[in-house]
Amino acid sequence: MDVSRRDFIKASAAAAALAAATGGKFVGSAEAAMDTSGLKWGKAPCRFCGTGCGVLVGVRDGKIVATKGDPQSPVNKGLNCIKGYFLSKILYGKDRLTKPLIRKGDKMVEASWEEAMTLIAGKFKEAIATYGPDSVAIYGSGQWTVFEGYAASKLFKGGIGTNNIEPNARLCMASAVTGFMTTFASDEPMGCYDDLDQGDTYFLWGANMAECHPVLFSRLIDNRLKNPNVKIIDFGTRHTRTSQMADQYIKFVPQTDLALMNGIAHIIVRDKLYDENFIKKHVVFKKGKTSIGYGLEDKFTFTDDPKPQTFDEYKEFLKLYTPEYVSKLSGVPVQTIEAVAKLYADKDRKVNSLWTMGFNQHVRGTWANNLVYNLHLLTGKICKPGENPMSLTGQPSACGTTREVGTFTHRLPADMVVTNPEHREKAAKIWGVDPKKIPAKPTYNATEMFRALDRGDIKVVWVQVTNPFQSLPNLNRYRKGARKGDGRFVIVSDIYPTRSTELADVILPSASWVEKEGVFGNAERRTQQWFKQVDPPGEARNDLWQTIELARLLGHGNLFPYEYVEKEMWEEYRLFNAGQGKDLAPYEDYTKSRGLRWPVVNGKETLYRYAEGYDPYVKAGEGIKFYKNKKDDGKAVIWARPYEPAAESPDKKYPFWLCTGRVLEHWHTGTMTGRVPELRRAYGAAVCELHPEDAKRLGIKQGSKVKLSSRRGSIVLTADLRGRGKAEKGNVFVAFFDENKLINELCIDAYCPISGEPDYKKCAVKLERA
Amino acid sequence: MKRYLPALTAAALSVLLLAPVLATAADDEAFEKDAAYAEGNPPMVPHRMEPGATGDACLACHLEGKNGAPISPHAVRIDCVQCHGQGEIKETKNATGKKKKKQKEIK
Ligand code: SF4
Repeated sequence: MDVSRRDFIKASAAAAALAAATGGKFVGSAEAAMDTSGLKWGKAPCRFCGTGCGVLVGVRDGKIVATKGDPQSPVNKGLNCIKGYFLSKILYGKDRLTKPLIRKGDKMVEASWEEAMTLIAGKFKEAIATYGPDSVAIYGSGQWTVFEGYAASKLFKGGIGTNNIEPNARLCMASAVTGFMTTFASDEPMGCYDDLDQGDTYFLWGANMAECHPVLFSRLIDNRLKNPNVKIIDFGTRHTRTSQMADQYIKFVPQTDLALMNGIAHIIVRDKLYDENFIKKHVVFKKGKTSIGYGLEDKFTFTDDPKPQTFDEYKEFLKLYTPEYVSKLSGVPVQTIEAVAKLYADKDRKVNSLWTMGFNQHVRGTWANNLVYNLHLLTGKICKPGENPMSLTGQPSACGTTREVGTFTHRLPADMVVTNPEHREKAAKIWGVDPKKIPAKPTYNATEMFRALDRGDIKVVWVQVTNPFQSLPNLNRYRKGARKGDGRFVIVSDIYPTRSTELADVILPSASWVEKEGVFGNAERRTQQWFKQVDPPGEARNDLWQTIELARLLGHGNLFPYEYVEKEMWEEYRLFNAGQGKDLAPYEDYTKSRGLRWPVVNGKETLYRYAEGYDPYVKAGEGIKFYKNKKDDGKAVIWARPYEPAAESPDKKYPFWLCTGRVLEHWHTGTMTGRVPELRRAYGAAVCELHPEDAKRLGIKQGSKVKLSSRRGSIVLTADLRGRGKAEKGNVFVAFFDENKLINELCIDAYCPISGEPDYKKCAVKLERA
Repeated sequence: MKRYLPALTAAALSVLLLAPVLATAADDEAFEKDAAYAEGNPPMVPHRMEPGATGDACLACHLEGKNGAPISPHAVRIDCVQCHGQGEIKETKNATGKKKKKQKEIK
């Protein structure tokens, strides 16, 4: 490219002048042609990813006609990604569900709400009476509003008396949760997005931020534009748009991230690059069980057995991970590992690690999270502005709803767990129920929940705001299981027909996003509220209403005695968090602000947890205090976690690694973005990315049809040898948004034994010309 | 990409990159003001895009308006494809301005 620096200054200055002259309105904008006068504007967080961009929603005649990136939102400061720009169209697909539908044989027949809810309540009652409360279940979502998640948890745990509640966040964030809990004894990050602007060294671990957290990636790139010292280093198993824009791309063999992080720690310890003072004050060492299995068998269980270690014992553990050994496993050159370790430890560098599904969807996901914290704890680069480990989330309220409200089988709000009698007591008190009502034993993680449905141990399952029969791994088994009959009853609430509604016995039409009032919590602990701005179409109704209606019909209506439901529920929910380092503000504060990062104490949000001067729970003189980890005297844990292989690795018969993930234009299973013509045109169908040399060997050309098979299933896709993502040799990548190409049929349903999160990034497949 | 770096003035950045945050707005009127101030949504790209297109490739034309390309009003945002997706391909020209007989859509 021949653009000189001078040209660039010239152009920038001209553009700046132009922008100033037009009062901030930009030429070339599609909006310029659109009449936005007379619109009523309101605020909301974006419906899609965990970044949590603020948007302004423009309404005319009861319809959303425009959205804009909210210039007042500290998250995105006016910017969106391409999905956000099309938010105004996601609710208006032609096939929007507007009436309850009940299965009559092979047909879905329109019904009234009363009819549908009476049928559902009858099925719940019957199953509970015959088989007990653990035969009914609710499967929810990181796209549930806080209210929807809270109501579901309260009804199932506190009313019906079963822990059969799981969110799809089990499939995306569970390893992040167990990582936080085991290292710091409290979920969610210490840092915030400000770190993206203030640091200078960013290690991305298996995170394609340019496509999956685009606005955050832009903040990183802006930082680099202003500060030439900034380095972005992308560790990956696939060359992505992110790799392309990073300063360095380091490819590694799938699963060897565990070895790499131990290798980096090995060098830090070997060369005494660690922060001894920090370690003495703030760190304890532990080890857990090894060879922990893969969760492939039904009813798999695992309990770790943490044992304290000394620093010397930890050093002994690291001895194995010499740069040479790690290089052999991972394929990363020895010099690169040495250089990376030195960057991590460089006293003059503000180091951040960022990750998402590469670590979380991993059969050792909890370990991967522990190991990255190790690097920050060894070097003391944590809880400081501009230097932190940052776990990115995938869904708009994976944090706010599933993690904070605790809509997992084992959890209760504010980091509490059902296995702890005091926690049950506290929850029961706030909920006004008998503590004995909340069962002490967790039941099923998401995968196990659908295994139980397949076996027939669960009879009735209600799916809300998610699409499990496209998004579960080893789909064939769970899709078949759902329709085995014999008393099984599947209810799906959604806004469009999906691969899950097609398996339902009852489909309920839901309200979405600004068709209802809601609260989401994003990846930086920011809680964001919005009001209802338009009516849902036809007879579609809020999932919150649906859950409360079921409660009423089951005789648990007393659990929801509210008039202004959202506000009163919020004030009740807040009681869980108060004084726990997770404090939330009164409801009004969120209606007035563009979100606040918890803990919010005396109206003040917290940018950096555990850090004096920022976190009100840290006393003067303490500096840094991991105060939530009481059993280790307020210290964080460095874990000895070894490298262990994936559940299934390529072999002679299935010689390729399969990795699945997202593309920029589509979100999750594409049920909303797939209904926006512009997004569909920009990216229409899932393809099979593979390396040109592998293709050549197999006689596969760009655009030819390939049959991709694993031990669990097989699909035909178009080969893409030069797409935006480039597969490494021996690897293929397929996006999972495409409802016509159910790639998850091929994925293995192995999961991390600690977190229960499946590994969608690694299984073995073969390729043939189709 | 880095060749641009030192060239940017803080002023250009604050105008172009990120709108300055005004006083907190709460009521409808304020939302309306914010909306008027906010940028419109970005146009899709009406010509063929290379799969790996990012700032370097796009700004080769859109920085100065070469080959009749509209000048980018915010050339400091270099992850162009984050906002500008592949649109309907209307022209018979590709991004480098050369005429092409037939043009295939990119998947
Ligand atoms: S999808 Fe994510 S990055 Fe894109 S606008 Fe929405 S919140 Fe922002």
